[in-house]
Amino acid sequence: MPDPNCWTTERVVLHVDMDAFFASVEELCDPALVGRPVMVCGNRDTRTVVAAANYQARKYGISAGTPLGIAKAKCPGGTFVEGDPEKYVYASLRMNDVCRQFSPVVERYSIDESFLDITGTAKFFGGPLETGRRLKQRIKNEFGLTVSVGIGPNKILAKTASKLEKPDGLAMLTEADIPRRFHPMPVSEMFGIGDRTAEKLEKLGVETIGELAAVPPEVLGRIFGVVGRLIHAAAPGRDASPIIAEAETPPPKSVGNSYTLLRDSNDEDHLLRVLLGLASKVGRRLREHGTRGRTVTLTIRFYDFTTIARAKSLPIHIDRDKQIYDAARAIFICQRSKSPKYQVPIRLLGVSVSGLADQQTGSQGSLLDRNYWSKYDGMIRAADHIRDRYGERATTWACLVRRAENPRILSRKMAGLNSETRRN
Amino acid sequence: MSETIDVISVFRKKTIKPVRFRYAGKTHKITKILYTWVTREGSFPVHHFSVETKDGNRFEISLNSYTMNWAFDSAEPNV
Repeated sequence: MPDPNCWTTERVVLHVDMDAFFASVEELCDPALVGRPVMVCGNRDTRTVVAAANYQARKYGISAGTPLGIAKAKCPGGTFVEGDPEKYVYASLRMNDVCRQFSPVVERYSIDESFLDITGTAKFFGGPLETGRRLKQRIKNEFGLTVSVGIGPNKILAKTASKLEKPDGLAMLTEADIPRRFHPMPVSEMFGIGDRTAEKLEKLGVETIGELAAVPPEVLGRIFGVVGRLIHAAAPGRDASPIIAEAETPPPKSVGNSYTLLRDSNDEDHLLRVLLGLASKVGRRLREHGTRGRTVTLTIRFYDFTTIARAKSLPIHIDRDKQIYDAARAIFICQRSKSPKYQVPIRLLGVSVSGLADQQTGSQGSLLDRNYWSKYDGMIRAADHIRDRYGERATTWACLVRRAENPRILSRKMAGLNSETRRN
Repeated sequence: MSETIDVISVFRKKTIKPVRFRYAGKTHKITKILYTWVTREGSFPVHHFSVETKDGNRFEISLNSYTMNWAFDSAEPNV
């Protein structure tokens, strides 16, 4: 990119990073928050962490992931807002609509970040920098939100550039800037390097991206595995990875859900109900994707943050809640009975299904069970139709409904729950 | 839980603009729509509004496009 305001045949990538996104949306909803330290978190009555902090709160050393208790101690005068993910998802989708008016190739990298390939379209907006300026202005005018934009010949340089002048920044890094501006940066600033990797690298005496580029790949490979080779490949500032527009997004390799319990629990009945809820969500998502999987993985995080993940491969591909639940439950019971060290309070449970294939693959039951599965599938189809029309909360399994709530019940027997889980 | 409320609103050119609503025995005049967003209940959109009223308070109200009911979702803590 020799001239930022002239059209070029080289690749031009634009990275949009929304500034303190969740907190900024909350400030729009409640202007009284503007100018105050604002932290968006989960349910304030439960254990939670800060999901996003605005720039005023960051001055107190608070960032995403800070536990609520610590954030309150560091910033007692701060405002804690319970986050509303649907609000942020909607804003993110709308902003990507705006991005698509500047390029048809938009990759939604995360809820608050997108990459645009503006190689062919920058000329229509007066060059790369002017495209960035106009995009920022459009988002500001339409949503009242500020974004930082970085421009570069690839994703790595574009993302690094967007950090240079945050918040409300606009910066560009060209290939010519690599030795002068990119390589002297601390390794922690490089795309793909998290805090832990940066810490390890600094212990090895590697402080800048330039120094990282000089480390032999086999040394990084030995220490960091596959990640080591990837970061070594990125350190020279070269990156050929494409911008993947939404329509080209490859199908998922696995589908999973996890849940952090409100309180650590050792109550098997309660934990099995949580597993059923997770299995139902995973089953529903598999059916929505039109896929089935044959490997069920259960993740358990104990009270002390020790985490184990155990998988079970099945002879057939499945997408039924009950089959996923049965497999996850079998792993759960097996692990709990294996050792006393696993019979301690649990903090988080997760269920995922991998080894996916399309819905035509595999058979789901033996001839002996045909009658049962036929009834079951009819019921699940009906439940899915109801959820499609009236929302995910419209139906659920009987044992997941608390007495105080409206008991729109699916068959308890169909849920495959044995006596110890029949509490309600 | 959201509470069903009465709202006077203007529907014009595919936009919805709530003007006044009645809550807790009082009519609140909306002076500013601060932010809007849309969620889905199954296949039906629910339109959410964060609004400021004449007395300077802030509320969140929503319109379910299937039931066509307006709901009172939340108020800022001092209301």
